[in-house]
Amino acid sequence: MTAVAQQSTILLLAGRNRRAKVTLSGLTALLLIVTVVAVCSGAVPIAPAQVTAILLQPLGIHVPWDFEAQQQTVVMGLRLPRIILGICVGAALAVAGATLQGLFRNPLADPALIGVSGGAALAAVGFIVLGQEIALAAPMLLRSYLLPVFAFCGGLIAVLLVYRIGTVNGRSLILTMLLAGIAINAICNAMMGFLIFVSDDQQLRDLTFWTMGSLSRNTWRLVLPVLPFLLIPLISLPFLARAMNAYVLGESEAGHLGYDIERLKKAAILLTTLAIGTAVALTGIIAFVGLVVPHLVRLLMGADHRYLFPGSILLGAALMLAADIISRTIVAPAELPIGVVTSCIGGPFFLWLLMNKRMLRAF
Amino acid sequence: MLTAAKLSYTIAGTRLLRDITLTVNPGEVLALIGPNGAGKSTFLKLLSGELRPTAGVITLEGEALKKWSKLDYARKRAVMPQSTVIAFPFTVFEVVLLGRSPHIRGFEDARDHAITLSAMRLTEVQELALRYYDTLSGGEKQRVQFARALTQIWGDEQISTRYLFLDEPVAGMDPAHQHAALKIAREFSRREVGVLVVLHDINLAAMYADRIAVFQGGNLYHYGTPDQVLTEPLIKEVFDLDVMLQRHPIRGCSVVIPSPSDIH
Repeated sequence: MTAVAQQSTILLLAGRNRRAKVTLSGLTALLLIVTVVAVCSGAVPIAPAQVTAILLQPLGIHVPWDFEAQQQTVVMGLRLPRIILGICVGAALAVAGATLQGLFRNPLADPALIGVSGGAALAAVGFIVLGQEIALAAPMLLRSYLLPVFAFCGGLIAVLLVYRIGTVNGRSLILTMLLAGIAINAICNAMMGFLIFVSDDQQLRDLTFWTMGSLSRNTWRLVLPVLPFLLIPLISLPFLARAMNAYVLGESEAGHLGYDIERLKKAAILLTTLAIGTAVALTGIIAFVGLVVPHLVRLLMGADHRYLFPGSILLGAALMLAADIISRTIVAPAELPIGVVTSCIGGPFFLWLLMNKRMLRAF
Repeated sequence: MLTAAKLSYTIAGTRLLRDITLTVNPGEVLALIGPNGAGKSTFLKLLSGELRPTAGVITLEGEALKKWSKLDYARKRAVMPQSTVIAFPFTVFEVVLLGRSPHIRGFEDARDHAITLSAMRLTEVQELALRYYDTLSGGEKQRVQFARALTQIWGDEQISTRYLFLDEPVAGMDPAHQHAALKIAREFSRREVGVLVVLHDINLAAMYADRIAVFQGGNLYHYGTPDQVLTEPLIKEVFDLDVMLQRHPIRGCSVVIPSPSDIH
């Protein structure tokens, strides 16, 4: 290659990196805009200026925009916890999806597809219907943690089962894993159906929430204690990016590059299960976010996990908030389960993915 | 020096390798030949640290391989596997750059980019730099993986002796690139790199290897220079193939001409 050609290759590569950085900034801006829209829109409309005034008041800063006490209650008590929850859950699901796709070395892996969400939801539902004695026996302080812990364990059992079934002699059989995930989902759904059958009216209302997904049942009191369980994987998973890049080559190849593969797999499984289990415990099953977001990010800026992880976090949060805005405004004053909205967007996208040869070459 | 002493490997009651004692010396190309299932790839996996021997010891620079950290070993030794599938849209440049992983923390610098470009130039994949890896042909993929292995042991002031393991590197390459690849491997061996290469083409082994180890049924059947090892009776015995042995008119190395008697 001539010096000129080499120079141009370097320039092209630099352009790629710059594009990734610009895209990340764009996604950050998108998230900010969606957040502002989410705070302002709803049954009680509030202008952005009023929101600013409301948010600055606790800090002792007074700005000349008037707002009503009711608006303050809506923003601080209802919308903010909901938005923070939406951001964290969307980001966690998306980054968990990106990690699972890398771990299974398959672009079609999704928390809901491979059974993690199903396992977590089943454990949560089982806890609601059958676990009241445990809840009453536990100390008050720990009660709000019990449900996430159950959901986490359920998700972990499901993912370990899928992983064990799909791994023969240390080799991951991708198709087997996906099929095992589908089977586990079916089993979980059947058992949830049984639990719904034996549950009483109050429990029944709780249960639909789990199968459809919603950000609606959350207050600071419910959100804050479990938020760390979402933040831990959100902060830690991006640190696995370089190892995940090597892992894309294959397990033994990543080992040859000096990475401790067993540790990587364990960390990735535990952290994604923690993210998904906690997300399911807080909001129920919200499908397709973990599948669609990493794909969109790869289309925008390539498959390098060092960009994919932060990109998925930003876009996942933005998409979740957008879906939540739709879910609570489209049939206002009633509210659509957010899982319905994400599935409406994600389902067609998934079909497009299946029909798009480029994306499917991996199979 | 990378030495295997009485290595055995048994899985599920089947002994795949038995008492192999063999040394990979920096500065030379050691070719492993033998029929399918002779244990060549298994031996390479044991030396690369991918599999643990069930008996025997591997020593690297006088110390047991077990005591080397994965990262330290990765800085000295690169492995080119038989075939690599990548499920995500990684570009050729990104794949080759992954070879620098053991040498960098966080993000790579200009030197890593320069090494990557040089390695790609060497294996003639520079034109493919921005193509997606999964769109390449089999031979092109092999050349990309070869370049990746080369970037991993490109040369470093602190790390003098290095090792390059190639598992059937030329499978899928056209003849010109087969020779080009082995020439590169041989050039690297002259710069304190010990090259261990599994080959199926006996003629390539005869032309490029300094030593040949012949595997059969999990045993080291014969070991020596190409001239010592390659004989008509040995090839008949090990490969069950009738051949005639000739001299290369220019290179002087052995040339094996298969002469099966029953072609009609």
